[in-house]
Amino acid sequence: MSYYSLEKRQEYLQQQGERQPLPPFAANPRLNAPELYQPSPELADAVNVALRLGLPLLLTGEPGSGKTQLAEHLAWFFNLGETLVFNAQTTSSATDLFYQYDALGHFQHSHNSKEQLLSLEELERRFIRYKGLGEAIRSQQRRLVLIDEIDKAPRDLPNDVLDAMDKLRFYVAEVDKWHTTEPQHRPVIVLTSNSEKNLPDAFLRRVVYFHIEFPDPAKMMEIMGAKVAGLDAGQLRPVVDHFYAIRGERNLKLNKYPATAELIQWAAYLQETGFPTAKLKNPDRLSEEERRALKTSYSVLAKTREDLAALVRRVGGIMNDE
Amino acid sequence: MMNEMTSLPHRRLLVELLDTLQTVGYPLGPGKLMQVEELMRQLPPDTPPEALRTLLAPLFASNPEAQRQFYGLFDQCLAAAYKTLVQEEPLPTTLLATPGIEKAETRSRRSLLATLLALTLAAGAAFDGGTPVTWVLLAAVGAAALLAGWKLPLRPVSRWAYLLALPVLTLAGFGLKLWMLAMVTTPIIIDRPPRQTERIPVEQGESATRSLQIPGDTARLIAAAHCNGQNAGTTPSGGRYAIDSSGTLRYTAAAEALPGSTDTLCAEAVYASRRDTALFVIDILATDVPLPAQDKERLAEIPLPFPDSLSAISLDPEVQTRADFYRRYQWLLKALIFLLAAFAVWAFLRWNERRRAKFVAEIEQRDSPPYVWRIETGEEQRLDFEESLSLLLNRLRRREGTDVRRLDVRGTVKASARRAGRATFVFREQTRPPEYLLLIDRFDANDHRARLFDALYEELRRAEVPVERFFYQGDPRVCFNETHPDGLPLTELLHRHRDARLLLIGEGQRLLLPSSGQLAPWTGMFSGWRRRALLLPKPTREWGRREQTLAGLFAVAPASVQGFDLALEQFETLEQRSPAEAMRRVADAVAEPFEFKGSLLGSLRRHFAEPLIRWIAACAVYPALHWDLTLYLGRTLSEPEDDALLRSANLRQLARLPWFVQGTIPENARLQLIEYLAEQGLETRVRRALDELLRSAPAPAKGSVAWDDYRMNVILNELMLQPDAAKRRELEAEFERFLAAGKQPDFVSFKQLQRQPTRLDLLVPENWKKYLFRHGSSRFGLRRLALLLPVWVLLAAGIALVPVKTEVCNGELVSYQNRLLCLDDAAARLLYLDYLTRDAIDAQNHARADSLRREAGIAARAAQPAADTLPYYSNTAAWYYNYGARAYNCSRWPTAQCPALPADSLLNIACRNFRYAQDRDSLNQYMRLALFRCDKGAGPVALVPVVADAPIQKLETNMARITGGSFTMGCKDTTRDGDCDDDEKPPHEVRVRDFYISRYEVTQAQWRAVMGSDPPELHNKGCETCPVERVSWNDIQEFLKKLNTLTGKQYRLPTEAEWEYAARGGAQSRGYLYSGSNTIDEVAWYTENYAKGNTFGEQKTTRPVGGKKPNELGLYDMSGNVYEWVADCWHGNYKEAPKDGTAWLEANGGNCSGRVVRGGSWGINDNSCRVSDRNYDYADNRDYYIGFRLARY
Repeated sequence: MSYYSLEKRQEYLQQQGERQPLPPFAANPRLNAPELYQPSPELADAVNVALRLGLPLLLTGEPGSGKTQLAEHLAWFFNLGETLVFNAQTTSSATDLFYQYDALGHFQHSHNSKEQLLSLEELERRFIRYKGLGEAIRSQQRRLVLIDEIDKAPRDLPNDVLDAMDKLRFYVAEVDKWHTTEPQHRPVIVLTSNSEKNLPDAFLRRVVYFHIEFPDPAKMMEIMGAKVAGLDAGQLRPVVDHFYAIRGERNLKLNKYPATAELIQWAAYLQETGFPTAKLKNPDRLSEEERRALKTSYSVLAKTREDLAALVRRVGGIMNDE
Repeated sequence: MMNEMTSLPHRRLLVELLDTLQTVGYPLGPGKLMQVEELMRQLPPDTPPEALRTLLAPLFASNPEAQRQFYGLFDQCLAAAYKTLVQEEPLPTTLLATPGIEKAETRSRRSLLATLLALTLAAGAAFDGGTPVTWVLLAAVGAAALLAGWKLPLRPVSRWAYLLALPVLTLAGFGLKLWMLAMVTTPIIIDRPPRQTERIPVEQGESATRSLQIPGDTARLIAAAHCNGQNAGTTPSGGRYAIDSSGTLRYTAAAEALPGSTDTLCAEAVYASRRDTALFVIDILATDVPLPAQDKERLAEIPLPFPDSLSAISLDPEVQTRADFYRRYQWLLKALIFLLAAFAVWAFLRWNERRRAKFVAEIEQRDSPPYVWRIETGEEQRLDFEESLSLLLNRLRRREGTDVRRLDVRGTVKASARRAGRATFVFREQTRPPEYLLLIDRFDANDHRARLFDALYEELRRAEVPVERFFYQGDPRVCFNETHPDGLPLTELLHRHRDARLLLIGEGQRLLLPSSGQLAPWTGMFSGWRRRALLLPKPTREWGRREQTLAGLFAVAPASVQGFDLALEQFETLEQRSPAEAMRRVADAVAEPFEFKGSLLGSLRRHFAEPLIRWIAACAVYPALHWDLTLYLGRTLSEPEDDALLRSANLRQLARLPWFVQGTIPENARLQLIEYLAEQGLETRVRRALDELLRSAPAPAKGSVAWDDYRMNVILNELMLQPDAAKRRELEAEFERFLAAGKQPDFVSFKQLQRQPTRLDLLVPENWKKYLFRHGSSRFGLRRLALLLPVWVLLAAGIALVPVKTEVCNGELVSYQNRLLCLDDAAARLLYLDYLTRDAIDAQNHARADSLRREAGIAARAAQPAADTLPYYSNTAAWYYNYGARAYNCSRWPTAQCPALPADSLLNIACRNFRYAQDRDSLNQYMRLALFRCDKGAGPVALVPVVADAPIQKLETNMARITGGSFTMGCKDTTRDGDCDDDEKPPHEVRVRDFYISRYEVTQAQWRAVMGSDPPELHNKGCETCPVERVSWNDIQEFLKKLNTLTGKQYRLPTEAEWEYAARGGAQSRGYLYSGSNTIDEVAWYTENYAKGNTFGEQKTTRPVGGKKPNELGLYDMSGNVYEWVADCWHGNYKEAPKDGTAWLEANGGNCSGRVVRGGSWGINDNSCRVSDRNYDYADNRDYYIGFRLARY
């Protein structure tokens, strides 16, 4: 069951009142399952160093190389509970790392209620929401904090992270309270960055750094084997090869080259639509229909119109509107 | 987990690694070291050092590049640590550097030279002939050639072919040589055919058996026998052998056989299909005379007085042979050598060419990036930005407000309180440090103007100013930097750095539409940045309408530090200043445009100070302009007393020149500038500095395109520094290969290089050069043809000058033991006889061997060679003779002092055995034993003379022992003694004691063997076995003296009584009238029968001895043939003759001027041949019918 098809146009028109049922969505539970993540030995070493030395781990790498996934996997592996994610933004400030104070709510509350002034505990309970690092320090157990895209944050923020890590405490001015934790409850911090260039040198000196290379085809086969159900190695191989062929062709000049996530989705899509993946070995032999199906599936891989056009051209087709 | 992690490899590795990292420039603060320390402490101690690679990388790297670099550095350090620590442990192959091309080249060049040398020497040795030196030389050469061949860079097949070719070539060379020699003359080949030989060790008195059959083929054996046909017998050394019909040979060694000696047996087996001859060499093992071990060893080392090889003495004749050969075939030889040499040269050139072609192909194939090499010293190049920088920094650090406003809780509470509780929200602007985005127009990687701003950017980064920098090339719609080498569109930049302050540096031409001069529509994108400025590098003097237009979109300022500052000021105040004001405000901007007018140097001088011109000129030395290079040269040229050149203002001045923006200086300008530099006396200094830089700067990856250019520049620069000749050759050869590969050299340097004359330039006319030299320059090698010419000339001259001896071999050319000898006729004949003799000995034909020896002895005397070389001419008779004589007189040995020899000493045994020595080896063995004993100085003794010469030897062997007895001497009655004369009377009883007497009359050969020559008036010349005649009694005394000296025996003439006793048949006498018979014809040659069947025709002369029947005692020719001298003086009758058989001399009126002769002769009647008949002759008379025989006790 799928959405609109030109051949069935008349059928749709005749049905009028009857609408098509929405095709069921079968989520791929494996797509982001942390237990299926496979770190490379080098990455595992880097993680070990970070854990041993209690330093934050800074990860760089192409999008889709599994930086965020690693954090999830670590939390799962060491049973650290839910990962505390902090998405850095250009406007993030130091306190955002620890908590959010709902000043407006507090104000409204104090304005409207005729109650007495709230006790500090009540104030904290109601209007302070601990986040990321703050929650990790407060929870008195080891937690994993993921600070995503730290290069986007203002330049003081990274240093604040390190400072907190050094002292293992933070101050909540609103309730005049220090939160602190024991050294053994030191949170595990994973930072990801798309560009290490924007980070202060002093920060870089005090983190454990690892650059995740894009997985090679063999590794990718392993990953895919774990992540995509229903395709055996023989069927998967042409898909992966095709994917690497696209990535390897630099003269395609794609704005964004597809990454692992796209590949997983693409493979899942191909599998669901029943595309004969074995034929990807030799795209020239595809039938007209299959070629069209392939072109359609490229929408998963390409993220801009130019990219899609380039991919379609690659298999000898033209965009409909060209 | 808390184990100490201090094992030696780790520590060694860490020290190495940290050192390296520090050298490379990693910041290694105490914090980092503590981190490492902590990590090492926590790691389990059995962590392999390799694992540290990925464990340490996260601590040191901070970007993907650094991560990769770290891995590389780590591997290096690991290798180094292993090397210092575990020498014996082989390093993982990946860690070992692969050997460079040069190394392989040198090796193969050496190998080839070694091969050529080997071939040449081998050829020389082949022509030299087979002396031991030659063989040693050949062996060495062969080994060298093999070694060289092994190292030649060949494919396995070729290598095997090469190795196989060596022996084949050598053999072919020998074959050629022999063939050519054979063409000169056909040599007499006298080598014996090889024979199956088996050695059998036997103890003294022990037996050994051998089967002559082919195992398992018994039926086919027909007969087996000794080679001489006798199935049983005795060998000369006394061993007994027997061969039975079943084909079994049994040998029993004699009990007294000489230990260490050998015996030979020849056996023949006849099969149905063929006949086999086997030679058994029997080694007598046991030692009856115990020799200490060291003596045994010494035994073999005792030098023989003469070399035991015939060839040793014929060296000179051989030289003559060779000379003769040269003389006749000089032209052929020379042509051959010439061809060989030419071939060698050709092969070398071809090899060289191919190697070059290979290298060239290699260079041509190089297309891996990087394509361009940027000189990056890796050093931090800090520019002096003057104090305006600090002002700028202050301004840059001022925080700016943001869009975000936060509720100021405290302020709100205060305000609310102030307003009586009415909620009054107070918001406060959140400030933050401003971020900057620099977009720099960069024409080229070497655009100095862009690099200057880049340096400023670096300076700002160092000051922790949050600044991001991108480059663009003319059009800012696509920007790039190291992180984004493929470029980011402006929209993306806007998205990422919207809050940053934009500083666009460049002329901004592309922002305007070329047709209308209005701002291009897309420039609207810049409005996305609230604060934006355009820094214009254009000289302010040239600013005009266009800048006015741009000022509509940007804050415009001159591109300088102060201009920067001005732009920032405008950001803060948000005031737009007109370009004119900006021009006025900024003092450090470039105002004047650079104009070329008149001469180049003139224009430069108009605009620049002299130190700057020098700097520009220095930059012209290298073909391309590089920022790092420029700074480096600036530093090199900075004189202490000068102002330092490295100031941003100076660089801005340089950037006025369009060259420094475009990255190249035009070639003619470079030429002029370099000349200027040379005039200033700075060229060498600059080049040296450049050379140093090129060597120290990290070179591009080998095998990349950029590497070739880099290398060529290095070479050219080094050549310009005028290195020594060897270095220069090496550089030129390498450069030439690059040229051959089609690489373009730096034209200016190349041209300059040609400016310097070389010696060849002076010799060769200009218009020849293009034919003679590759690339028309004598600097880069001769063409192949030109290279060949002088080599050819030298070779030809060398060959023509080879001195050649032109003597001819006047004798026979003899091939002996595969060597060609030039011997005189006599020597050749002796050699031939020697060969025949040995062959006879091998065939056990001793009779023939003896006769051959005899003949050889005669020939040796006839040749009359020098005494010392005598033994070589005949290894049989003369050899024994000479050795025997020398052993006797052993004080004459050069090495041994031999006082005397014991009677039954080994020497005696040895001497005895000389006679039986069947080949040189055993002879040498005996000889050595004798010498050894001699050397040991064994006790005093009577010497046993050895009659070594066969004729002399025959004298001894032919002595018959006569048992003494009594008989009636003289004419007893007519029945017994026939028609007697008066001098035979009275008959009287004589008793003689035991004595020896010759069976035969002494022959001519024997005489010559002793005396060295024939009697001067010998009648029947040339009959070796005829009795000697025309010897006077006195001559015989001389003979006896010599003979006794030679043999050590006491030979004498028989006494008359002994003679008659022997003639009558001694104790076995049958009373014959003539000695041995009553019929004279049976026993004697006399006047009636001497001519019958005479091979000498009717000539009246002697006949060979032993031609008739012997008498009762086995003595021949007692009657007839020749009269025989006896010892006695002449007495007319037997009155008062001695009765004891002694010689009757002067006693009783003896006339000793006449001596008795007995037995009649060939020229006399039968009556005179009677046994009792007497006659006499004068002692000094030599008659052709008188000879003699010997006697001794």
